[in-house]
Order: sequence, then C-alpha cells, then structure tokens
Amino acid sequence: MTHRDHPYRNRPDYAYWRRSVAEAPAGELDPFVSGAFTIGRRESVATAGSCFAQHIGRYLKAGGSNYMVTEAPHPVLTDKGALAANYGVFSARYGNIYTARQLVQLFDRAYGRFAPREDVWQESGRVFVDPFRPNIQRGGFNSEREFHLDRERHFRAVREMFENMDVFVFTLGLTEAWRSKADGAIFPVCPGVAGGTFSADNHEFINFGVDDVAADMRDFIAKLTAVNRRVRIILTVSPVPLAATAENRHVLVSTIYSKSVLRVVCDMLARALPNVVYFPSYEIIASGHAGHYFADDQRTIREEGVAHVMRVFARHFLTGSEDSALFARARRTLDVIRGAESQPPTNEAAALEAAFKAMCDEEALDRPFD
Amino acid sequence: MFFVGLGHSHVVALARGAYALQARGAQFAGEPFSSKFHYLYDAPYEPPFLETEEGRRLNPSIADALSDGDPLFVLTSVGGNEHNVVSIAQRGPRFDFILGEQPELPLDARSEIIPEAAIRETLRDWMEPKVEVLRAISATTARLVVQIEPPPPLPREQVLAYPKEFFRTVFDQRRMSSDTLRYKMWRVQTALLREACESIGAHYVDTPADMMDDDGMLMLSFCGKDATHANEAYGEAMIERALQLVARQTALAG
Repeated sequence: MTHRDHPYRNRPDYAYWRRSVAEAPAGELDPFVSGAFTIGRRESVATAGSCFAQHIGRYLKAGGSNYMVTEAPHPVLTDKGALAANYGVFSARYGNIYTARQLVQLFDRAYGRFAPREDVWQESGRVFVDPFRPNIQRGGFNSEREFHLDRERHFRAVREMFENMDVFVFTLGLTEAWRSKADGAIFPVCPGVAGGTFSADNHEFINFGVDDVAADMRDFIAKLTAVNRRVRIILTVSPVPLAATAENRHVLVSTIYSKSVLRVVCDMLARALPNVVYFPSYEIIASGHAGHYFADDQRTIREEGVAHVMRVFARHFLTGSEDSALFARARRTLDVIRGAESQPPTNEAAALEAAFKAMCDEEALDRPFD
Repeated sequence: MFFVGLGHSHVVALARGAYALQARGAQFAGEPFSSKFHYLYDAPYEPPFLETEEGRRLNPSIADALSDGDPLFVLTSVGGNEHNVVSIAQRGPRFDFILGEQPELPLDARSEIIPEAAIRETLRDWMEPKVEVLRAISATTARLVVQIEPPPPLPREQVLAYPKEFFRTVFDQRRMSSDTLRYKMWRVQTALLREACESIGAHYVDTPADMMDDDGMLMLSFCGKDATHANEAYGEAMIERALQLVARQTALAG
C-alpha cells in the first residue's frame, strides 16, 4: 500500500459524508446500504413496536402490501368503530410495545408460559383494564368476562401472527419501563396513568441497558424462530423522543441514552443473526440531516418524514418498487383516508340502510302530516 | 298549549298518537293541547344542513318549524333505526357482545364476541348524522327539547311477518339476529342517545318497562305494520310521557 493508497480510497459514495449526506437532494437521503431482501407480494408482513411502528403498518397496508392482520375487525364494525378499538393499528391488538422485555413477555403470555400476577385492573364501577394494553379501547372492558374472552382471542391472534408471518418489522422505542416487583411483568404505561393504581410497594422503575435489551431480543428471536423458522426480522428504532423520563436528569439526555442503547443492540443483532436486518428510520428522522421532520412539539414526526422513511423502505424491500409506485399509491390512499369525513358503509350495510329508509318512506305514505 | 314535533321514521307513530289524543280531547295542565309534526325526510327539510358562505347551517325550513306557532316545547324523534341497520341481520361471521349493564344476558358462545366498546363506537358513527341534527335543533331553539327514545326492537315473528319483500331483497332471513342481540344493540344505542341529550341539555323520554316483553322486545300490541316501527298506541303512550315530563319541567320553572 503506497501513501496514495489507503482503505478509504475507492470506497462507495455512501461511505462519504459529503457525497451521501451533504450533497443528497432534499428528501433523497438514503442511508440503507446492505442487508435488503425482497418482500414478495404474497409474503405477509407483521408489525409491532412503539408509536412510530404504527406508521409503518399504515403505509404497508395502504400501499397494497400483504400486511398481516390476525385480529381483524368484524365486518359489522365501521372503520371508525374498529379504529376506536385499535383494530388494524398493528397486526394484532397488542397496542404499543415499547421495550424488548415487553415483547418477550407478550410472546410468553400468548403461549401460556407467563401469567403475571397483576393480570387485570378493576377500575371504579364495571370497568376492567388490561395492564398490558391499557389504551386498547375507550372505556376499557365492560366486565371480567368480556376482558377474558377478548384476551383469549387476542392471544390466539398473536400466536397466529408469530407462527405465520414471513417478515416481522419491530420498532424498538424505549429502555425505561415500570415493572411489577412480584414477577417482573413489564407495563407499557406506568400503573396509575392509563389504569390501575401506582404503588411503590408493588411497582418499580427500570432503565434497561445494552446487555438487558440484547438478551431480551435474543430470547425473543430464539422463541420466535422456534415456532416460525422462515421468519425474517427487520429492526428499527423509533425516532420519537421520550415524552418524559423517570430518571433524575434532563429528558433529552435520557432520550439520547435510550435511543443509543436500542441502536447499539440493533447493530449487534444485525451483525450476529442471519435473519435480522436493521433499517435506519431513526437516522433519517432524528439525525436532522435528511430534513427537519419534527413538528412544532419537537416530538411528533411530520407526515413528510414518515413518507421519506417509507419511500426508502419501499425502495429496498418491496417488490417492484424501484419507481416508488407502491409508495405513491400508499400516499394517495392515505390522503383519501385523511380527507374522508367517514368511511363509506359496506354495500350490504348501505343496502340495509336504504331499505330502512324505504320502509320509513312507506311508513310515511299513510302520513299524518299536513 | 301547542307543541311541535320533528323527526325521522319513528315520528310517524308519535304524530298519530298525538293526533289521536287531541281528537279525544286529552288535556295538558287542564287545557286541550294541539301539535304539528314535521317529517324530516320530506323534501323541504332535506338536506338537514346547508353549506353557506357563513358555514354549515341547519336547513332554514327546520329552523322555521321550530318556532312556527309559538310552541311550548319541541318534541324530537331523530334517527332511531341505526341499531337495526347494524344488527337485524348477521353480516359475515355471526357475532355477539356482552352488554356491560347486563352482563348476565345470554351470549352466543359460538359467535365472534366483539367488545362493547367497538360496538358502541360503531353505533356512534352510524348515529352521528342524526345526532348532529338534534344538536343543531337544540342550539337553534330556546324552547325545551324533548327527545323520544326509539322503540325497542320488534319480536322476531313480527319482523319476519312484515314485509317479507324487504327481507327477500336485502338479506337472507336465516341470517336474522337473535332477539337478545338486537335488544342489547338497542340498549347501546339508547345509552348513546341519552348521553347526547344530556350533553346538549335536551330532555329524554325512555320507554316504560310495561311496553316491553320479558326479552326486552316491544310488545306486540305496540308494534306497527313493518319490521321496525311502532304503532299509534305506542305513540299515544310516549306522547303522554312527554307531556308529563314537560308539565314537571314547566312547574319547576314556573
């Protein structure tokens, strides 16, 4: 090697900041380089994770991917009714899964391997809240019977998802969590916030480190591949900052800590496991180098940012998406959904409504009105 | 005393009831009363809202009807059949749900059990266009607004008897829901309607228990001549309840 020859010579453009970041056209920064695989049109994709994961599922669904929903809303429900109960937000109705430990415990609970002692929160009156998905539906469950029946169905749907999905997109969100002192059960939201009652005797704060998260993710992936050998996993880190920290320090410092831990673990797993890749949605949004994608609250991700992420995702993972046709379709569909005041009823429901209207008119034929 | 009535299909039975009471010389506070009813599906009242340069406005014909004749109160019967649209027939896999207020009611364990929360939001979605009319009526008039509860679902034999053409054209009658499920759905709808009335300051007249059979269905003696509507006797009974409520309210105010 001469003094003119060195390891950085002849590196591809993406290895150089100036060429790949500084000179990248607006909205075109693409930090994904290797590890892509093609998700076939018929291959089913499931999603889980923190708030940002909702966007991924939303785009996949609207873009025509085979987005897997194993806990689907019954056809009698309107879109608004289904959405109010969080049907279709993720592949099953588990709500946001913020931490790796929560994901492992979801798996274990669904397969009957873990039964937390703090199983259900009974609120005042006849309101029952699921501690592990406290915001899954407005007003909670109306009885213990409804709670148990619904959770039984939910766990069936979770098992079906784990066993049959071809691709699992999981977005890691947080390292901070609250857990039961009794058995280590992780709550997605601190008890007392969306249900339950906080007690220092029963609950404690934990902030997971790299070793914890890595161990939990390896545990989950081992369990998952035991029931589904073909599954491929795409990991992402949510760029959404912490809303609050329980550590005695600035929330920005806690945010950088959490995201750094999660990002390191993703790198470790992607390097070590053949069926795991990391997708850099975090870098596209949070780095600030691809555009300013945070809303005024500096936390909510603007739609343009989500669109950028999904454009890059589609380019690398989705069949026939070289020209982003699928992405464009997703955007159009989402625009229509956002613009619609309400979803049209199904044909059958519309026919029924029309029939009732006709009946009403018939009723009024023999009219008592002036 | 004079009052005005407005509503959708269920207002027909109420109008018949009111006019029958008047014809018999029924009294309110010791004096005869009169009324005038408006059918909101009639052309002058459709659509119920108009888009104007000032924004969305209640149809002026409806607004005029609220004050025409200087009524003591406004009786409304908006919507009411949404629960039937959603549940009279089973679309897709059979479903059922647990009614939180009466969780002991029978449940079809072979069907898909939907959380009541999802049912409630679905009905709220279906009801919203009619509740919006009620809100606008309440906001437009300073008079008492009295909303009549829609009648309970009609018993299965009544639904299947009238009119058969309806079921042949719209759905397979073998897919008809159980009386229990239809009762539960009606209960969810009436709870939402009562809640809406409370939020806008309208009074709500519910259906007395003696008009329902043991399964919560409208008793045959109050059923109309189709699958979902009540008859003149029902109208009379509900108008009398409304008048009693208004008498109490005016006595309190006076």
